[in-house]
Amino acid sequence: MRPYTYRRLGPWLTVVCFVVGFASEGAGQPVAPPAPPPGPLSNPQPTGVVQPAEALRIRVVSSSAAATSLLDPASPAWSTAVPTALSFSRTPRVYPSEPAPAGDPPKCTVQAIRCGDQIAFRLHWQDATSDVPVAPEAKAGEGGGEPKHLYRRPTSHPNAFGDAAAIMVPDRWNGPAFPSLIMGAAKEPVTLYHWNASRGGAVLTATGRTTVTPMAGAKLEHRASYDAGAWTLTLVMPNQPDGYPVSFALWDGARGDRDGLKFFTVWHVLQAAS
Amino acid sequence: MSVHQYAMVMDLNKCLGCHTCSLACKKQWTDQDGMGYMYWNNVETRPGAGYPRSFDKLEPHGGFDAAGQLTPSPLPSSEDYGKAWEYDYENRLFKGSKRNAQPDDRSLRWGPNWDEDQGDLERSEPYFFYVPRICNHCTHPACVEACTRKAIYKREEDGIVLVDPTRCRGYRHCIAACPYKKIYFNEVRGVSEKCIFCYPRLEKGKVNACAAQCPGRLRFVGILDDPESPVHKLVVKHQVALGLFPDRGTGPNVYYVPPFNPPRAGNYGKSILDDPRIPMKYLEYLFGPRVGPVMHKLEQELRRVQAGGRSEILDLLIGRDADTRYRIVNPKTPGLDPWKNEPTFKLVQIRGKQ
Repeated sequence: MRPYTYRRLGPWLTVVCFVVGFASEGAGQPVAPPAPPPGPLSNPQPTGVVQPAEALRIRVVSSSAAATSLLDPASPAWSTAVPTALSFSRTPRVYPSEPAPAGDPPKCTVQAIRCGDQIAFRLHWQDATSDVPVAPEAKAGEGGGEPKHLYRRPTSHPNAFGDAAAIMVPDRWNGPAFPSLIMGAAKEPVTLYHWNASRGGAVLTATGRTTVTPMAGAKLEHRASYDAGAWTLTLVMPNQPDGYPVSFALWDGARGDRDGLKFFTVWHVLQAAS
Repeated sequence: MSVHQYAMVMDLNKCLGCHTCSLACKKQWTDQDGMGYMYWNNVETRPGAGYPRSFDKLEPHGGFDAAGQLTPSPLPSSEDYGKAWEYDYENRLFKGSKRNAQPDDRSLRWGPNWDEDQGDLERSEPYFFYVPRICNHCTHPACVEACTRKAIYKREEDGIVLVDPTRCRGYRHCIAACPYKKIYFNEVRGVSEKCIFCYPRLEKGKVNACAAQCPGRLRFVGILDDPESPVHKLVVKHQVALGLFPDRGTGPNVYYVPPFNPPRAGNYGKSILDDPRIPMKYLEYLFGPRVGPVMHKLEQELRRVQAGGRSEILDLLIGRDADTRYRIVNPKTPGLDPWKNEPTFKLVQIRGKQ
């Protein structure tokens, strides 16, 4: 468009744009009032699955049941706990030569029950394959004899990885900013309640990336099962107060997930359900 | 980067392909649970698929690219390594069974050395040679670079690369990163394991088990920066030994005297490089572009001896006694004097956690 054309049409275009913009403001659906800020932990009664868009809050019910009984994923107590859908992100590739992550993040819900000084979580997530690589036992002697002096346990899955899940909790937190999601930081230690399909449960501590260390003597009470294309994991850990942050991570062994190759959530907070 | 660097030179002209080195290593270090498929030392026929199968053909191939970026490869499968089959030892050895010992898995179609002695044909003439391989204890180890747990480290005092099993969590980034696939996952222990260059033996003044047992006497061991060591003489002074796949960017510290390339049948008396039996292109694929000049130099040395002269290089490569082939010194000793004191290195746990 030549300059003289714009000089002739410019004022008219300005008027047309102003009129169209003004008219469209009142057209179509009425504009919803702006959503109230999250504010303090109000306690709306959830119905059904709480979507993450509403709030990053894990509804926690209380129970007088023994914590160990809640390790049974079919325990009736779990029917009282409202499931919260978790929204996962994928960690970025470490090296450009790695294949781009394919597929959608797994669909996952979490439920929580307080029981005394402990809190139980029940994670349920979709996974098309159950990846549980475990070294086979040593071959037994054909004659039924003691095989130990003859045979060793073999490695059979040098390139396979187990499915896994973890819940990360800060060791101390007074807010308002959340600690680092990358395994905490030097002044923000975190505890990880980690389950691996091949190796079972472990309690780990960390103060940042590469610092994950098993907690000496700690044992993770847990139970995991795979059925109909989904894992269900129940685990018990020390209780945390309302408003305390927790985050979640899932590893899909079939994708080669391990270490920092995983799906993760941002920090959620616990909130007592009324 | 280490202050000193232990290194090994293998003269491929002397390798018999007898696998005594592999068995010495296996018996000494890898006869535990989860280690059956591991050969910290293996001997493969070249041309051939190697161990694990086609490790040098993986894309990306591991190591570093020209920009210094790690290029982790896919992980080899158990089929690529070759499953460690068992035999019916109990009935055969102790219960008088007359059956021949057979692998318990008859469906196997690949294993270490499955293509042994096959080699290739060059203009209808067969050729092959053996390449023994251990961890290269690289100057720039890709495994160290790749480990997010900082569980692998290169000892400053002697350049030996080791895994700390108490820090390793079995993520296997190291295996993907190693272009030589000389680090292995122990599924029973859940950690990676690799050649330790027999450092507990070195600390007692003894040479590596693979070298000590080698009937062909093809291995030379010493500290690369020790002017008296045979590896210094072969690699630095005379420059007749080359690293494997030098383009992988890791700086391997196991060096090879390339197979002395005889001329083809009917062409005796010609120069090695005039009409080689082993295609130079294949040797350059393995050892890089310097392999031609190295072989030319070796040919000149040979001709000098044939004419009645002396060659320090050939005297060294013949390696009549252990003192010629090995010089095991404490790298912490001033002046790299021969080992005199008790071992002072920090011992790491090498058996790993169960």
